[in-house]
Order: sequence, then C-alpha cells, then structure tokens
Amino acid sequence: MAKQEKKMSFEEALAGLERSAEVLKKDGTTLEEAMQCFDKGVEYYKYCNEILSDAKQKIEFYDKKEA
Amino acid sequence: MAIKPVKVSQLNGYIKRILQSDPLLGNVSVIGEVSNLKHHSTGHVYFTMKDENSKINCFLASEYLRDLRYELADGIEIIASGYIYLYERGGTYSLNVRDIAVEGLGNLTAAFEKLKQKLSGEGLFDEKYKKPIPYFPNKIAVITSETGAAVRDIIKIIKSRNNIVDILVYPCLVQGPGAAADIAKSIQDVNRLFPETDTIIVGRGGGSMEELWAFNEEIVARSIFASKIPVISAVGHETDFTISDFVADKRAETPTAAAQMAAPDISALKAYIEGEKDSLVHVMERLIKYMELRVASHNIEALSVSLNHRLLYSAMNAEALFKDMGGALDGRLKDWANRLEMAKSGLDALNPKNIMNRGYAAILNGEGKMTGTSGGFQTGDNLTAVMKDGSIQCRVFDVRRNQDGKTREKDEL
Repeated sequence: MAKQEKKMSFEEALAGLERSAEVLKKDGTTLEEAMQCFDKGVEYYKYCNEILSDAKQKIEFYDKKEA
Repeated sequence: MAIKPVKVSQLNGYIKRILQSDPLLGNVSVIGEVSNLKHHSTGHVYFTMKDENSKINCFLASEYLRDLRYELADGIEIIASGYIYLYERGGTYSLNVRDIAVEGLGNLTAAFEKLKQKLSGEGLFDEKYKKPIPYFPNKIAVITSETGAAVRDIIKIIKSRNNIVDILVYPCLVQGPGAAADIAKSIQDVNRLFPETDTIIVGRGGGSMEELWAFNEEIVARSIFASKIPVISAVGHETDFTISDFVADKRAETPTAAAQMAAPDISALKAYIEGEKDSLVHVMERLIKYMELRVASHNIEALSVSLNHRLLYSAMNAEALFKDMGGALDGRLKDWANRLEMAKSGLDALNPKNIMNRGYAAILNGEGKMTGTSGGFQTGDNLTAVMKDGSIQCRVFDVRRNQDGKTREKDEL
C-alpha cells in the first residue's frame, strides 16, 4: 500500500480526496463506510499536501555545446 | 558572318554552353507570380513564373522542395533563385530553382493558407490527436530563444505560481532561415533526451509575420505533431495565429498564457485541498453528532421503560381475551344443558311407565303386540295386560265397540 502511494500522482490523489468528500456527503452512508471514507480522504489530503509542500524546483538552461 | 549549316543538336549544344557559362544566369533571382503549379509524382515540381508581359518555365527538384520555407500556391508572388538550364532535346530553357522566398503580407498569407489547408487535409489538426496538457507537471521544457523576452516571461510566471515544477530551457533559433529546422530538431531532442518532460512550451514573443514565419513552416508543424510529449504553442500576441498553433495540443495566446496553462497555481491548490479536507472533517463531525443523538434516544432506560409498557399491554390483552373466551364457553355449556333437560322431559312425558304409574295398563294381543284398538279382538281371545309392577293373562268375554271409536276402559275388562 505504502509503495503504491509513492507512485500515485498528485492528480490521482486529488481525485481521491474529491471522491472521498463526495461519498461522505451522500445520504445513507453507514458509520463504518463514513469512517473508512474519512480515513482515506485524510490520507489523500496528507499525500497532496506533502507534494505541494515539496519546493524542489530546478531551473536549467540546456547547453547544446556541452552535449 | 555566315558559317556553314549546323545540325539542330549542335546549335542547341552551343546555346547551352553560352547560357550555362554566363555568370549572371548561373545564379539569378527572379520575381514573378506562380501559375500552372504541378507536383509531379517523382516529387519534383513544375510551374511557370510570369509578370504582365512575359513568362518562364520553372523546375524545382524534390531535394530543394524539402527545405522550402513556404508552401507554393498559384497566384502568389515569389522570388525564385536558381540557374538557367537548357533542355537540349526540346530546345527549351527553364529556371532551375534552388530556393524560394516569399515577401509581403498578402503573399505570406496565401502561402500560410495553402499549408494550413494541406495539413488540415492530412488530419494534423484533428481534435482526436490532441493530447491533454498534464494538470500537475513535474517538468516543463521551454523551447525558445534563450535571450528573448518570452523565456523571461515564462520563467517569471511559472515561478510566481509554482515552486515545484522543474523548468528546462532548451535554446533554439526562433527567426531567420535556419530557425524552423532548429525548432523542429529541438522538439525531437527534448523528446529523445528528456522523455520524462510532462509539457513542452514552444514559441517566441511578438514580431512581424516574417519574424514569426518559422512557426508557419511545415517542418515545425510535423515535429510538433510527432512529439510524444504534449506541446503548447505560444507564438507572438493573441492576434497572431500560426500553423504551430493549429497543430499543437494547445494554443496559448501569449508565452505568459502558456506558462499559466502549463503550471498550476500551488497556493490555489493548497487552498483547494484545505477546503476539501475541512469539508471531510465537517461532514464527519456532523455524522458523528447525528449518530450520538440516535444512540442517546435509544439508551437502556428508555428501552426498558418501553419494554415494560409493552409487556403490561400484552398481559392486559391476554386477560381480556381469556375473559371473553370463558364467557363464550359458559354460554355454550348452559345452552347445551338446557337442550339436554328439554330432551329429557320430552322423553319422560313419553315413557309408558309414567302412564302405568297413574294406573293404566298396556293391552297386548295374542302375538304380544300392542294394537291400541278393540278391533283385533274376538270373544274368547287371550290377551296380556301389562301393568307397572307385572302383567296378567286375560280372556275376552265380550267385545263392545264405540260408535265414535272412544273406549270406555271400565267395560274393557
């Protein structure tokens, strides 16, 4: 599970978060379903937040002569 | 001056030597309008150039056609450079074209439209080939002049929105004769050397149609179409449309717009996921409160009180039912007893012993049958009188019958 999450893209995680919020809002969800959904949603949120907080930007000018 | 007659081929051979040794005719540039344009199946192109008074046959070999920067079309004015060539067998000469230039807005527009039509016909602009621009890229390659305004704008905008995505500036020429080939090669290079790139932005800042022309060349269009990495075309200002714009996966009106398209705004995304998380928490809290309420309304005390009520009610119900049943049964029994009594008194009334108690006797004839009439008896017959405590044997002395059938008991014995 943890390995799979590493591979998950931001878009997938964001979609997961949105889906969780949507399902949770639905009527007729059992408490157990809701709890599962909530936990998943929070996991997705943390994953998204981790990505968004990783300011790893590199700006590079490719040198054609070097190549 | 007259010399002896020569053969046709000798004459043409001579003219050819004169024409082809002339330094001016060996490298000449000619202005004229294209007509009778014919693409031969061999790949060579034949056409005529003309002005108001004259015309000349032209030949463009396929190897030069490949490098041409403009799409030829009937009616446009071109500047063709090449050399004069004499075709000896036909005795005709032509301009063998090495390169073509097109000048002026009208002519450039005509060449542009011709190429647009051609590529559109081939399906290069079809929506089905458009790749989506990745929403959250890790790497954006910018193919443009490293000294231009465009690259500065793009880097500035991306940095202001996003501090995660890597930017690779892949420098290339963006105007002049070699620009199109350089742009095309750069797109191929980025695909080959940096396949992990999510999005390519190719473009340049504003300029005249001539300055932007590289982005209207077929070679650039084909390399954009062939790119595995999605391409955003960002050439000039919003009013400038280039062939690159049509074939790219996405057209940006300006390099700045391309940067906004390519890189999502991280702080907006952060705010968005915060909102989603808050909504998760909020909904969950509400759900838990609701569950708590439901639990509270179902606590044990409440449950036992309600259970007691139900037991009591059931017991009362059972009792009432029992009473009803008893009453019904009593009634039935009484009814049966009455009917029994009535049947008994009916039977009592008919019991012959009761009559005998009152002093009556039953008369049986000789065969022991009770006839109840004097009709069957004759004088001298034997009969039996049965009484309550025994019977007596009698003989008939006399038979007297009533006129009205009534018997006088006294007389009978």
